[in-house]
Amino acid sequence: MPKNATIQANEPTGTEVAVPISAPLVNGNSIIDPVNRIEGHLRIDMEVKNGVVDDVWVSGGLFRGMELVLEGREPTDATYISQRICGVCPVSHAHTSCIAGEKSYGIEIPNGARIVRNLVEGAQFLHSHILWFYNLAALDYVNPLEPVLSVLNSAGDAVDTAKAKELAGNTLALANDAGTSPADFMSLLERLAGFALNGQLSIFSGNWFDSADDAYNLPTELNLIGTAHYLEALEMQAVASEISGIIGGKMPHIMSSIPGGTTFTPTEENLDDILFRVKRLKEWITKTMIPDTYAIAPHYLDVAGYGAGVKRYVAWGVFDRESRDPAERYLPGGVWGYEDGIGNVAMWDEDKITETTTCSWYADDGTPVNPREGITEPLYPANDASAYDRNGKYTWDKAPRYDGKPYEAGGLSRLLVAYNRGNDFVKGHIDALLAHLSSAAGTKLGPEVLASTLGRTAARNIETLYVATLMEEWVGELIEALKGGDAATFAEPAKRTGEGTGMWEAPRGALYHHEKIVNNKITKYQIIIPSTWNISPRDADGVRGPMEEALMGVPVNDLEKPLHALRTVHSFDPCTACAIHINEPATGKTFSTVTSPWGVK
Amino acid sequence: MATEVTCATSFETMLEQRGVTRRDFMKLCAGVAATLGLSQAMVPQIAYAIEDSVIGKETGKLTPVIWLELASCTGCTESFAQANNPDAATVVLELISLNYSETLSAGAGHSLELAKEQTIEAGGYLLLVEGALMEGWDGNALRIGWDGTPETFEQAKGTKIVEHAASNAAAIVCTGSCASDGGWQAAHPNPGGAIGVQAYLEKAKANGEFDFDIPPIINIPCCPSNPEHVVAVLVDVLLLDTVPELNEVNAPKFMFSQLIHDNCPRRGHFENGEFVYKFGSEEEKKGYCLYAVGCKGPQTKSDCPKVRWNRGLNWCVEAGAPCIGCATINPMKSDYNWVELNAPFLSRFKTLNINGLHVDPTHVAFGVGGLAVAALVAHGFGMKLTGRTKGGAPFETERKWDTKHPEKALCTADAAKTCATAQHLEQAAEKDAKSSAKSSKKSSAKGGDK
Repeated sequence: MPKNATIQANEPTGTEVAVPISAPLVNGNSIIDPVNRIEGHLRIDMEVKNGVVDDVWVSGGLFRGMELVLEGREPTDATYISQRICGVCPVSHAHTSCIAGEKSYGIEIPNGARIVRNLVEGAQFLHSHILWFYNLAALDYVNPLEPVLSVLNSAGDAVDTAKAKELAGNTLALANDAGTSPADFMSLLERLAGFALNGQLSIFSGNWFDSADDAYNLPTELNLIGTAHYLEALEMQAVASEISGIIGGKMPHIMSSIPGGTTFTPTEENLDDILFRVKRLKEWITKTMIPDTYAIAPHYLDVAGYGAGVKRYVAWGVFDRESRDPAERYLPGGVWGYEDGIGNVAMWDEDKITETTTCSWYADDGTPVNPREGITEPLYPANDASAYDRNGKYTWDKAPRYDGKPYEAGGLSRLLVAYNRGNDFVKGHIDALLAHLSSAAGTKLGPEVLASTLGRTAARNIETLYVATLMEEWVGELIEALKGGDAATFAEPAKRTGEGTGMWEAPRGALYHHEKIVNNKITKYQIIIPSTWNISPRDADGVRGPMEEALMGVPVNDLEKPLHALRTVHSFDPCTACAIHINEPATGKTFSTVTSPWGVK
Repeated sequence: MATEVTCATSFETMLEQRGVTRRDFMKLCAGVAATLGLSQAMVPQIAYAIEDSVIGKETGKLTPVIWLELASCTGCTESFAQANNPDAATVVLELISLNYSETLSAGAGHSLELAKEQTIEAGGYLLLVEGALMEGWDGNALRIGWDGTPETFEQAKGTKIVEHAASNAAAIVCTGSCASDGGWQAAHPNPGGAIGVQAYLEKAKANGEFDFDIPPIINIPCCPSNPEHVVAVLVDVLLLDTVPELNEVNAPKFMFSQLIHDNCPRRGHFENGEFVYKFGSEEEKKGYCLYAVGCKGPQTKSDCPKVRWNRGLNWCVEAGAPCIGCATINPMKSDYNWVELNAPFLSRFKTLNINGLHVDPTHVAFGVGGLAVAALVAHGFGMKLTGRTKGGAPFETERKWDTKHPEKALCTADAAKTCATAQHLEQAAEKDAKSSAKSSKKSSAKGGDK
């Protein structure tokens, strides 16, 4: 185990959580490229000094140009095509695009469509969060190979049955103690042994279990529980997606949400199918996901000691109530920072959003502009290593700012806004989590501790339970609406020339679509995606983006396998294929100055 | 036009061509490994303890797989995670050794790149590609896994990564429409220079960028790919020892040779002339045919209605949504991707793509005698015109509904000209004509010089 030393990582989090750095303190350049277990292509370039990150550059490596593809097409086409930004959160893109389309059309969707959309959006949140926690993030904390290797015989060529039985028994006891769901641990060990003895590593190829960050702290039993639930989660995320499939035809990339409402017709037959799955998911989240969070977190209290970031949060809000007011959404909209003090949430103002491209591969005059007036043109400066310039342009991602400052988006942002707006469910569960962490740490930890890699990770799991709870309500609400004759699902456009903005949430955070249409044809389309906020590069003033800021001061003991840094990156659940986008050049120049209409030759 | 990839009819023949013996291959196959006494014969080294190897043993009972993610939305990986029988966990633990996957791998950065490198060196792996290649900015529109040194700048381009990974692969499976032909990213104006794997590799080889034989390519269209399709191809290749029979776009014949329309459960309503003209209507609640609101089922080849999605639960049309034709691919012509050919999705199609010819349906109806085409088009105006029903209703030049909803009406010859997509296609045709005229001029001029 590394010696624990208390350092001030970034800004002080207001806690006394120890951060693990070990002697000898390492120095040098540490690059994670590609970052794994995320959506898209992300590069982390860190300068490490005396065992902590001293400076960092986060770079998105893919340019696709969605907005340009949408121009000249129709709002319904934009709804279908823009989903293809992201296969993890297509539903959110569909809905945000729909809202932009509906505002342009001058309409509001009927009540039935509102509830149906909440349900399919909710299903996607459950899918995304379950998959993220167990199948993407968990492998930074859980080592699935350790339990099986611990029960092999001395020759290492077969399972020692007595050892395996003992471990399975102990694991069952621990699961019961922790209040998390048990599994057939003996069968699991046998299955894993079949895999391990074959000797091919499959998804564990090139793993970081031996990182000199020395950070896999779980007891063998908890590793085995985590592995069992990794496999269960693969099943449960698919069950969540089945709900999206029932409503949307297929998932990823649903078909039924279009500007005006939904093509899905709720019936007794399909509502029944949805409700059964919602109940099953809610039970699993309650009995497995939440207890796992509680069981694992105390072993990783040090993870609460780094990764604070900018400590300012945006949430546009998601899941409409009948009022359709974003401030009243089930997960409400708002902007909040620790500097504002508990309870002081402001509502967002679209005019305060700006973007700069000083450090991005786009032409730029350094002026922050509102996305509605974006003036950006791709510009990759050279076909050699000089194109990547830490002191200049180093990413395809742009730098969005709210009120001129970097803000974090995501589950933690939504929960902190809801917490500060006094949402009872969220407040109750956050306070319970803080009490649990305090008792594990032996010291009182306040809401400040949430501004950390651990806080970001745990908050998302509380949100998962909240959404599952709401979905059960919504099925009931839809049944009542059907009975009461208030379940219409579609509204025709009132006009076909106009302009509108959709501000909604993807599982990864605040999502923004803006469009202008003339005679039902899109003349301009703008998108700002949650990860654009989070993986933002420096702005014109040299201020780092939220993920860059969160990585500052993170301990690194292993330059090749910087596990603490990787955990911090994963805690944002980044989605970089989403994040890269461009605006229409408003300069009057056409895009063909950069590329021929039929692609770059 | 580049030549078609030569597809070995038998996986074994193909392996032999690549210098992999039958015996080597047997070692890779699930179920066969045990009969070779592999586990007894070899020192039972444990998982990650193997010296210098980050992938464990090079061979074993699992077939090594490299899953490259390029310009993609990760939707095909997400879709793969929805598979059942076998589910995703069974696939990666008991069927394949997924040595490289940006989304699922435990490792990251340098050690993950090393895993890919060791797998390529060992050979005999399947290469799965998700997402399009990006040629924009000399291939810098997509960069992955760069260690920061000038020497490795070139090899971190997505295009070069695919070339390298293809060099020693037993076969390439392009999962999804993007890997097959560039997908939506290649739609006009194709800002990042998207192109499919097959077209790129053939072009690069023709340009002399490499000299290895391009392995057999299997395209699995749809956006995203259906996990049932992907798993079926894996089973074909790994267990049945064959490359599935492929159609003209190198997609498995048994999945992509019939029209969605022909297997659609709403086909009866189509035959009866019962259509949904408006969402939220009584016709919609009755589950009538979605042809009038733009369904692309009659021109899209896939077995979606049979295989369905999300564990066979549902599919697009059954959720009341018209097919948007995402299974359409043209591997050698990325500008004829599914978005370009099918948008606007919720209008009845304005141009028909028949053997690469884009024609206005109203012209086809009168000018072409082919029953299938005429039937398809005439349905838009009134089913009975086809002649299937003798003495049918008089031909409606314009439906009443269309006059009320001009924006959704079937485009007339004039209207088609105002449609962005039609314009693009016309431009493309013009450009093709010009460039071919130019090149013929050039060659004749050259000939003259000589």
